[in-house]
Amino acid sequence: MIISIQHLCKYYQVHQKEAGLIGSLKSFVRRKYTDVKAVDDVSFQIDAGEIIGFLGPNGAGKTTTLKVLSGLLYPTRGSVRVLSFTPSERRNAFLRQITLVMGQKQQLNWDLPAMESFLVNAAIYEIPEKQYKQTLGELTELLELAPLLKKQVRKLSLGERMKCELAAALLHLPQVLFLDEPTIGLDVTMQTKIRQFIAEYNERYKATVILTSHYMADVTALCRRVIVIDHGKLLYDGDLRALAEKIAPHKLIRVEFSRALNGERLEDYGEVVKTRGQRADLLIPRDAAPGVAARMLAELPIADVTIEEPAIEDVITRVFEQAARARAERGESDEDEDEDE
Amino acid sequence: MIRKYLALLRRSLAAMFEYRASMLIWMLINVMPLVMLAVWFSMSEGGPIAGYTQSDFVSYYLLLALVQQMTSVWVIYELDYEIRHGDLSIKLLHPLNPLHDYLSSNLADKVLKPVVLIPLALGAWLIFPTMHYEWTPIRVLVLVAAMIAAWFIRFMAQYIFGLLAFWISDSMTLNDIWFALAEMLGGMIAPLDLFPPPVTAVAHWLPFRFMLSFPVEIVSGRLTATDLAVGVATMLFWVGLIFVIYRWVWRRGIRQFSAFGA
Amino acid sequence: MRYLKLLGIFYKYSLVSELEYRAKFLANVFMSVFWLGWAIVSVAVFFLHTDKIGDWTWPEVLMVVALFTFFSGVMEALLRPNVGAVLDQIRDGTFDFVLTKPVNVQFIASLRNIVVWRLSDVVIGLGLIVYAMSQMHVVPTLGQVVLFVWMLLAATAIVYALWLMMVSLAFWFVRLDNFTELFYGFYQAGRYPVTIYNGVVRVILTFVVPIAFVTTFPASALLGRIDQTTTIIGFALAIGLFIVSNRFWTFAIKHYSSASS
Repeated sequence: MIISIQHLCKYYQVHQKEAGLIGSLKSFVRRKYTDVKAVDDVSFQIDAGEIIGFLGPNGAGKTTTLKVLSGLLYPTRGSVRVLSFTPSERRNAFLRQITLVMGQKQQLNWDLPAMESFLVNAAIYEIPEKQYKQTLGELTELLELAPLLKKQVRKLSLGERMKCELAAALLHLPQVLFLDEPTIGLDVTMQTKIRQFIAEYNERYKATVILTSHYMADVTALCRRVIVIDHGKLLYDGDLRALAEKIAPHKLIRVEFSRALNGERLEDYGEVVKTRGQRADLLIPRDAAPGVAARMLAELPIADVTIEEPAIEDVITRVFEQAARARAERGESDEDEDEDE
Repeated sequence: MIRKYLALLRRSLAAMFEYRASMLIWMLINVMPLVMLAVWFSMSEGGPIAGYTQSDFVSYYLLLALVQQMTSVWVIYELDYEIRHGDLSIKLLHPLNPLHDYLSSNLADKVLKPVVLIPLALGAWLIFPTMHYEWTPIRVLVLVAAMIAAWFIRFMAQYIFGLLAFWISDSMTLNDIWFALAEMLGGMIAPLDLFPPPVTAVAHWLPFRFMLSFPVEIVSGRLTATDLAVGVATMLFWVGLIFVIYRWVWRRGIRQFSAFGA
Repeated sequence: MRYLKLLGIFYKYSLVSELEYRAKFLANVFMSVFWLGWAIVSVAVFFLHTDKIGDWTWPEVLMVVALFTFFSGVMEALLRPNVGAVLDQIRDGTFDFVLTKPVNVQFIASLRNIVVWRLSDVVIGLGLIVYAMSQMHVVPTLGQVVLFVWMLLAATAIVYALWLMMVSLAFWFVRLDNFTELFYGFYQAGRYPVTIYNGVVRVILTFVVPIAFVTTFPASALLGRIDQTTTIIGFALAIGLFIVSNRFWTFAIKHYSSASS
């Protein structure tokens, strides 16, 4: 067990800070707090070598959880163990084995070539000379860094910069990687490259990875297991494909007709999602799908038919919609959500 | 630790070299000692003021300018920026106290500055050959130590004010007030002897003196051996106290930071 | 007319966004008073040892301190948030938005924002002038007041022109992020009457970086101790610098539009 979280709660006490010197002095002495539940009773365990997709809408508590795991924030309640350390103690032995990459924050010095920042990290992490050279060689090869290392960081493109950021964050060969939106803002080709790199790093160094991303392609390509949270609460933890089955107990049947329908009622077969011209999409309960498809072939003028899993984006959207509905029924408002930046 | 410092220093030097022109401008902006010198110089034309002759003022203010340059500090601006933009989080993930990162970037400036300051000092000496100091080996040694102490007190004070940003939004204003007091009671506006005696007496014990004027006093020929010893002891007291305050504020600040995410 | 209307809209916008921070206003009044006190003490030190500096008595020097405070306020309220901000805009690329607006570029770049609470320095500076005059038991003649306003306008033009030139120069040296700070170094010398400085320094402060015309000479005008030559030189200098800085600005903009990518 590399990571273990038990009943983690992180409540922010947001204080109402008044502006200005006097207000500040006042709030320095006495201030009012309101609680915001960024993470609310979340538990999960992660084994060595897993790549976990960590999903949730903005403000769900993803970044907060990652910050707790990396020791930047300490939990309000619950226990957190990472590599058998308590992260919030921020021991050097712990910090040397983890890394946190945030797609929107940089650690490289913009005025210098990336190489300079690498050397600093090598010293800070006390990486032995030989190991540093070897790791740098490997990362250079995996990320195709060779032409970038000597260029001023500010002159690199967004994608090139992200590659250098990753290299800087991984020079000390961390066991545990927390990747917060590592592909944000990158074009599709670069996203694919970063994705491949993460897979290869995981493979080569048997590292454990927790990844958040707005791009489902990242998640479907890399993660077998996903953890979904919303409003600080754990909604799902398990196999990505099982999520689709659990949340969306339907399959999608797409049909194309050889002629326009006259009078045949599609509604008799299942829930019609969409029709355009001689095409239609229907949602059919998972188990009934093969039978319904056969019936349609027999009874309708079908030119083509396919049975598909609903797109993962739609599945996730459904998860959040269901959660929101459940909250609304309990009478909780959506207003108390916080930005977890 | 030495390896870490060398690497940080190397990085900071390289970065500083990118901004060498800016650095020169920052140096030029600190003309306050020269302005004050010009004023006192013309005032003492008719004769010494409270024992200070024209050449005393020249000696005082030119060395003061040097001390000011070699103890300059701007860490609050870096800290404020990084706390507001969340960049401090990244530094906190490194197995190294961020203080060292900021210290080394300031040290880089101190390594580069003599390149400009030494020719300037030689030039000043040619223009004002009447400059006179009490150069005994011990005094020079104490002078160097006092300059390091002055830099340290300045740096740590500003760092502490910067850390206050964890709690309050106007830490910069507090720093401005501190800075203004340091200019007034640290010997910038006038050598401390020229204030009314009660003010001078109090100023001798305040930390501001040890941020600027004390190093100059050491070689000015106005401090007896006893004054010197008392001064050094007071200086060490402030160095120790400010470090203790830093430790306290830092511990609480980190707790604050990791509780609220700032 | 259209520009006056724009100005009204601009300042209303600035004012509304400033009013969000009423406490900030109080803190700034406090800081203005603090700095004023600081400036007064820094002059008082001299008068412990003499009763005149550079031939100026204590209340007369206070007038110079008052003008120093006054123009600090003008710079912080009007120049830094506008002309001073151009540098940042060039660096982060938002200056292009200014260039694409169908309004005179220099107008927007010079007058778009106002930091209202910084005007506290202006008010306090004026207050100190009145106080200093009452200390001397002098009531200025109408002629002296007219001359004072005249010199004040010239001083404003000079300060503006100097800022504009610095910023124009910065179009070529975008990397120099602290270019505008350079002026502050010289401005520090303006807290004392220029007559206190000797030889070269005085010449520099009068003609090269004419800080003397910003603080010393307007004070002289109100005290009735200014000669006609100085008035004329001041006026000529103001007009000259204003024209030169405008030309230079236009040239810099042209350079910017042709050199930037």
